[in-house]
Amino acid sequence: MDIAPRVNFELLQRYIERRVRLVGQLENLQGNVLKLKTSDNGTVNVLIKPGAGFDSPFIEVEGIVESPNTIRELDHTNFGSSFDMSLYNEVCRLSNNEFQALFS
Amino acid sequence: MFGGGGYDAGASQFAGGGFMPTQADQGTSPAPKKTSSDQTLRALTIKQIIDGTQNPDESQWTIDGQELSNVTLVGKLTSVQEQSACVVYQLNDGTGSMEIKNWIDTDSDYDAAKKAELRLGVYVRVHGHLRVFDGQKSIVAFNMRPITDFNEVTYHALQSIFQHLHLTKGTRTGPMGGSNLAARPAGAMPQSNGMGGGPAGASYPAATVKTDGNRPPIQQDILAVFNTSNAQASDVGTSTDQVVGQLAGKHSERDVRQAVSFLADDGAIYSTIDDVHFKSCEY
Repeated sequence: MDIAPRVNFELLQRYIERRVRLVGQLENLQGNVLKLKTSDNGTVNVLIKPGAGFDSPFIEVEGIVESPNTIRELDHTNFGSSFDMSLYNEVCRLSNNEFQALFS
Repeated sequence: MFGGGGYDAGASQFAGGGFMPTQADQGTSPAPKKTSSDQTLRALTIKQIIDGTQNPDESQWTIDGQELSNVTLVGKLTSVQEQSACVVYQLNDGTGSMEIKNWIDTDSDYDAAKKAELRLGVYVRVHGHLRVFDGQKSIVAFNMRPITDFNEVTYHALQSIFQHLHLTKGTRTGPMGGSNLAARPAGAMPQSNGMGGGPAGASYPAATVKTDGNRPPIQQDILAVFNTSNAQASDVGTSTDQVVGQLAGKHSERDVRQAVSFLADDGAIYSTIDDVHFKSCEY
């Protein structure tokens, strides 16, 4: 499984049971559920692996889409405190539409 | 933009690492003749590399009609395997996975420090050469560094799209065309001009002027006068007085003179034998 398209909230429903990468802004973390605000201002629940550190405002989660607003984490990367979400949203849009051939 | 920036980045990588690019190719294929395209640095997704085609006679890997030389990738390290003189990584950028070989000097503290940074799960930017051996592709890296500002991930995706468009469709025409003109490196002209901007051999300014529908009516009328076949055939072009005469009754002399002067400043027409005779830049 090498391919994991970059998605926002709107695109998530296209990839049910598939692997995706999603960058979001950390809203809160309760138990094993991490709430992320996506680049198109949706809210996604991430079912996290135990013991994982989430210590930056922006986080990229790689995982399997379980439902249109839930992802099960396989891996994540802390994306730091300064990340342009509106520009990233364009990457999600372009890489899943006009230029999908370059990405997946 | 593409040619300039890409090349500079490549050059600085060479300067920084003291790396000799031809070394990686030794023994795999005879050295191809050097052209300017051998100097390019392409920003790519891994999927683009996998989907590339091999040029049968030159055994060169080709993407978007252009032979690959240096490539730059951005992705996450999903496997790290140390060998005696090199480290073999798997890089995944969400579009595919690619083997990256990084030769290291085991006596160098600098290389050891670099190696320590390149751990599993870290996002990195790689500069290197594509190597195809027995159908297996890998990148021989001459620089790898961890990403610290993650906007670079966004940037790399957009740059890959931009370079793909640049090579497959050419420069954008229309009102913005003029500003892109200077950025177009001669060596990077696409084989086919996907914009359909005029016949083969038409210069790029032509495409710019032709598709520029945003000019006010008076300028369009004046350009029409300069673009008649008689005007084009003449070496001296058309004098401002002739244009004034042709457009008499439609536009005032003062307006015409002003607009001609504007068009000259704008680069749509150029002066010939003196400063009152002009020809269109369209042909």
